[in-house]
Amino acid sequence: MKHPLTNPPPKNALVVNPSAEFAKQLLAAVPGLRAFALSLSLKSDRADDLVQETVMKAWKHHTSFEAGSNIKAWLYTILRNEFYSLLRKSKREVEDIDGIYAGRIATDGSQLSHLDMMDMKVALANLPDDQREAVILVGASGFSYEEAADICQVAVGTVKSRVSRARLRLNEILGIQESDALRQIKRGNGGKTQTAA
Amino acid sequence: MVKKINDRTNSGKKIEKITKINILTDKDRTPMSVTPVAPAIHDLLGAKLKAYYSAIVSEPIPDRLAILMAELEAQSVADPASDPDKGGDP
Repeated sequence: MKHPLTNPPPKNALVVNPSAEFAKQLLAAVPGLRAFALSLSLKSDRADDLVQETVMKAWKHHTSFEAGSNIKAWLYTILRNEFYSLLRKSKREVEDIDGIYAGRIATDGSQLSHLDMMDMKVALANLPDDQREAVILVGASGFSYEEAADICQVAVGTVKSRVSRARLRLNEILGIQESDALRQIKRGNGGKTQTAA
Repeated sequence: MVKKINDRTNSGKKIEKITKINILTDKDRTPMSVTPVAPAIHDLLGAKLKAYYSAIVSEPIPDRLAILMAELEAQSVADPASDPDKGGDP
């Protein structure tokens, strides 16, 4: 994938607003971008800043997007670059669990109970950044290993090993037992944890 | 150090400690020794992750983003290919 924003329009070019089609695709990607931003930054106000910045950049540089290529991967790459450049600017601060996206997770329509959501959030927060973004891209938002490798600008093998390591780590934290997993899958129970009676 | 994580807990305090341990051991990770999780766990974990993510994706968009999106949508131009006569009009 071509790196986003590497070919800004020439200064004397006529400024052309993006097409309605581009706008439609960009706006349709916003909820997914927000979820990705939240999994990177873990703080909802900062995540919304990231999404806003990403949308504005994509809008401004729409001519550097090749029509017909994967707009979602392009946008995720912009968001990720933005996140890491801000992070470099503001030095890494140790994440404070209390400040993380507190209590804003909607539970309706989801398969997970509020408790399960909290558990997953905390478990993800305990992964190293590189593992978290890899497992979110591949395991949650449906990118292929190759697409995730493009987005993170690393080799496919690196993404694979980060995802495996993230799964191991998540499982350690969540404490899923194989017997429980088999039982839940047999019941066709997806992610839902049985509430003990 | 990492073994401590096996004690599953919902207590925020304990998890905070784990966060710090996590950061300390970040460089100790050995790159090539990953044993995959059991298939049943893999599937359940995958389902949980997807459910977690889709719950966030389906949250309502915060107002300021919604406003921005509406503004941008209004600024976009109709595809000239679909209506060449109106393509150049301001």
